[in-house]
Amino acid sequence: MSTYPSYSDQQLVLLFKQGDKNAFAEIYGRYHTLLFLYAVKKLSDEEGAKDIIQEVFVSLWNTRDNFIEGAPIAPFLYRSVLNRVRNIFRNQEVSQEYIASLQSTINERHETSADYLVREKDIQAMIELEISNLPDRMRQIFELRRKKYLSNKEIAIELNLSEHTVATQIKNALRTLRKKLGSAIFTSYFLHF
Amino acid sequence: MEKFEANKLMTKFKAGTCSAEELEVINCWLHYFRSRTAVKYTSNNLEHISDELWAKIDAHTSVKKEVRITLWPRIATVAAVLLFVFGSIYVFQTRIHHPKETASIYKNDVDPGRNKAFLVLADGKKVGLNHLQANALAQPGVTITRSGDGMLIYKMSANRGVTNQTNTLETPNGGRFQLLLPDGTKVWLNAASSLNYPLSFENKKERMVELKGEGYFEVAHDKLHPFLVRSGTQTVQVLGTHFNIQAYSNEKHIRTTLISGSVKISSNTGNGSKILKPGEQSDFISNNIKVSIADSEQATAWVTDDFVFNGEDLHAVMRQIARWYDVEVVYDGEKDTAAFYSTISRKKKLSEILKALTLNQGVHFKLEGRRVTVMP
Repeated sequence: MSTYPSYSDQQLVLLFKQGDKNAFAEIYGRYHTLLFLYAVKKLSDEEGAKDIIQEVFVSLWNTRDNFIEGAPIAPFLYRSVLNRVRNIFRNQEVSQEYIASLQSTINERHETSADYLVREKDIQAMIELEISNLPDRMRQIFELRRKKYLSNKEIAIELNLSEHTVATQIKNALRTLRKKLGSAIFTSYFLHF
Repeated sequence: MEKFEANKLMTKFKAGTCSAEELEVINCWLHYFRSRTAVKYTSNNLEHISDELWAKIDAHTSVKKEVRITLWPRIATVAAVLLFVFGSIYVFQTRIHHPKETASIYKNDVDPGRNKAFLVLADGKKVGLNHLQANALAQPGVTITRSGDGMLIYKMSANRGVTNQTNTLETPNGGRFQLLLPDGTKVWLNAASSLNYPLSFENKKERMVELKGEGYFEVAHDKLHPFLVRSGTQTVQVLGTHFNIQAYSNEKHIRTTLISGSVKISSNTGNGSKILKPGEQSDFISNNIKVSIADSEQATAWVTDDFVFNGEDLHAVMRQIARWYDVEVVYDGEKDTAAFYSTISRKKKLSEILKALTLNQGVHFKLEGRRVTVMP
């Protein structure tokens, strides 16, 4: 039990795919508060945000067979929440605030359509931002938690290593994993969206 | 790109008529929307919400209870067997009646591509290679055999002669094949591709072949006879090396990826040329050659039967799937063309691939016959 907090996200994914509820609980522990705050800020509706988080995690568990080994979990969770938030927004009254805010997004990023993709760095930025905005005690808990499991990749990002180095490391890790698991059954998924 | 306008975009979003590109803008905006709003929750609040949520999630994600066998081992064994049988039926039926949370529809499944190709002979006759067993085909100056593992082998025959005749190896959608040319050069041909080559390289200054679609080449070393691959208006010149060329007419550029050795890319109409170093790739588009660092693993993944998606958009991903599974892809309504990052075995059935994309990217599919509909 006590070893779960030291597992990387990818190790937890491997375990929870096999039906390990403790691994699932650890994933929940790592991300649900951040995801809840992410949703509640946008929706200004606590119950709505709770429903979304519940749906996302229940669905993650129920479709765990399909979840791909090696897949980073955080971008998947954020995207799941974002899609549900978007559906709610679509049925809401449009306020002037939305229009103005959307226009400023457009004004900030306008080079190519690819500028608008929410990439892993955007997710990382959001995680950092949310942790830094947590109330004190909660933030300390999160920071301690993260020290235990920070993966090489995240460390690389923190140490400002190039993306290429990071990518190479991940590929090497996945290659090793692939060898262990046998390539025929191996599928993996690299992050972002 | 035309600049978006917030008012119009919001109206389209509300109406559900956003293009994929526009939906990305909405996502991007929402991702950062109000993210700097101050948090009004205390640590206690958040812990309380956490417990409350976990109680609900825990209740909906139960694991099967284990049956403890303590008495009467024989009865327990029988009970366990019955439990297993009925349990399996229960699980099976539950799966059928309650598909997992997804809007995808799979009316049937589609097998992955396999070794399948046609050979167009010098006289224009087209032969299906599945029917060409061990018995050799005779063409002027060469004998052609098919080895068991989907490879066509050309050997110069005793009465070698000089000929200008050519053969063409063609793979349909859902096919691939390997080819061993008489000079020892090995070519892997991906789905929906063709390679035209002379029956013999004898007495020729150059070894010239013509590629459409995608091929991976391991060129036999021969300094005196450069190997040339023409694709459209691009020519790749090599001495002896390993490289991949993707030259599908429905992709926006011809991409050449060099694994080892050295190749020269040039335009047949313009006068520009570039030399690639191992680990580099070139994108050839309207006679412009752009060289960059290659993703070699991605470029050659198909040779080892993998799809490697490394930031392609939905359309590019679906083009690869259409070629390999020989399916038609149609798009229904608004869709999200996020960049895809994924490595998936090409040996899987189509539904497996689509399920993986659904799970990781939130795109849904309808599979009917050989038509895949991409749904929002």
